[in-house]
Amino acid sequence: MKRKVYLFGSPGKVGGASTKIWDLLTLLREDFDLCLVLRHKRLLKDREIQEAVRESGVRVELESKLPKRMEGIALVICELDIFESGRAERLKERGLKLYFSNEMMWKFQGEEEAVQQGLVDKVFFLSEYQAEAFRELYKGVPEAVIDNYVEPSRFPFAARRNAGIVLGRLSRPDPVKFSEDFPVFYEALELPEARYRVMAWSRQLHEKYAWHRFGSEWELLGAGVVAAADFLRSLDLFVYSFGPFFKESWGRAVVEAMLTGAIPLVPAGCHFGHLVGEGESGYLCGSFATYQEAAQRLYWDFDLRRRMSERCARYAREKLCDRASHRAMWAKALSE
Amino acid sequence: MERCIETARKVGVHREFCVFSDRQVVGAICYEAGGVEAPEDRRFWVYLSAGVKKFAFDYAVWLAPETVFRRVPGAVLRVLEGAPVHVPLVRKLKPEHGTDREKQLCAVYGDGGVRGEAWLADNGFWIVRLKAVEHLCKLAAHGIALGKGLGLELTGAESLGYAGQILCGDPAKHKRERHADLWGREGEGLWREAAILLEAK
Repeated sequence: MKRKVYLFGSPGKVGGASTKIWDLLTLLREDFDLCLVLRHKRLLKDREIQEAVRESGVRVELESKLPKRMEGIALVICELDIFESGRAERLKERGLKLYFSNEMMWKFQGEEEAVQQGLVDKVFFLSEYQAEAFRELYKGVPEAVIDNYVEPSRFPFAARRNAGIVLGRLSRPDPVKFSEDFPVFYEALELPEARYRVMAWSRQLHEKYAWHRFGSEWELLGAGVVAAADFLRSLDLFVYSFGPFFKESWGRAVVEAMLTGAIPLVPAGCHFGHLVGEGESGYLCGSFATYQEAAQRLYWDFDLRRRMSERCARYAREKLCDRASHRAMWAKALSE
Repeated sequence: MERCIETARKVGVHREFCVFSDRQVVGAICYEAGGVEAPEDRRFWVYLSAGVKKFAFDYAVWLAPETVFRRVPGAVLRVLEGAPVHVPLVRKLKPEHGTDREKQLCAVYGDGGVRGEAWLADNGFWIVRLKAVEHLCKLAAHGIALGKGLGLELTGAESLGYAGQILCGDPAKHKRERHADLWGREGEGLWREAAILLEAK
């Protein structure tokens, strides 16, 4: 009999945690008796959640309707108020084991106290980089470090045929995920007649960069305006830089971009060294000059760009997003 | 500052001079500068966030009082090169062989997100787009707080250098020597070429 796993979280198409949950639904259902638990009734009507549920075929329950006594695992992913709301305690009272994955680089409200009270039975990290930030807090709590799984079939590869070059990025519309100098950073790369495409642009981002005059070479799209895969397939280079107020725990959009054949230029540091092979499947950039050098090289050498694009997609598909190895990691982590 | 304005008018610069001062300055629009509680060389942050950002201009060019104009500087904003701020970067910091202060400063800048090599800046002359003032001040405050956390009290130039490097896109475009024809500090680098000169005290 398959072990019961109740996944607490909201699948969606925008943001690392939501997309992760979507992919986990299809990944875990094969080895576990999986049920998606939603916090609010209104989420039952959310179109993206409905689509995720339809696609995965998992059961859905409302948290308020869960029985008083239960057995199995509550796998809680990036539920911001899980501790401060007292929900974690109630899950434990029901008899569930609480397995928790924060997904971010910062502590949730009440997380520290919850760990001290022994509410968390197992903690999941996305990367060693994230684990390092939390290890002291979770001292003595069993842990598993499991990389994100991105379902490759959602992000098919496309050979690029752009006239000129297109740079861009996709992330949730959080201003801290954009470097403070973002638009001038892109433009200062000095790629002749480059076009810039950004998705998940928002009013806050517009306000943040009110000092910049965005010319016609810029295309700033709101969240979800285009399907993520289609958007990423339109980019030659996925150029990612973020500011001093942010640390990336994994870098899901980078892998999604690679799957489609967009070449990532990402900051050296965080977990990126595990996702991108320097000079093979993208570039790890420690300074503006290294971003510029990589971008210029790829701009002027079309053959290199074409080959690297193919390598990115292959590497992401075969190494980073190998379904069998991810299934095995989750099976092990949720069975112990 | 009166001499600065005088030399500017003499060479044909007719822009407005706004001065933060505790007394009247001939030829300038004056703003009361008293009662500010901040280390002296960081007071400009207060003037900037409380006053300059409200000015009805698009850009502010900050000049130290000992500045003189030697000829018409031309299109001053060219040094921005698309960035919202220009702060002259004067010397690369040496994390390995520099002074203890330099090493500490490198740590602050690195923790604060300066990519790659960090530079020392000069705050005798700099330019900011007014729409970016708040942003610049926020970044400087972040740098100052980071410094405090590491036991280092950032000077005005150091905090400006931090904020400027975070906001400028490509630091190489903001090296002082690249714009030596525009501004210089007497006795340093290519200062003889400068249209606007900060004289030695």
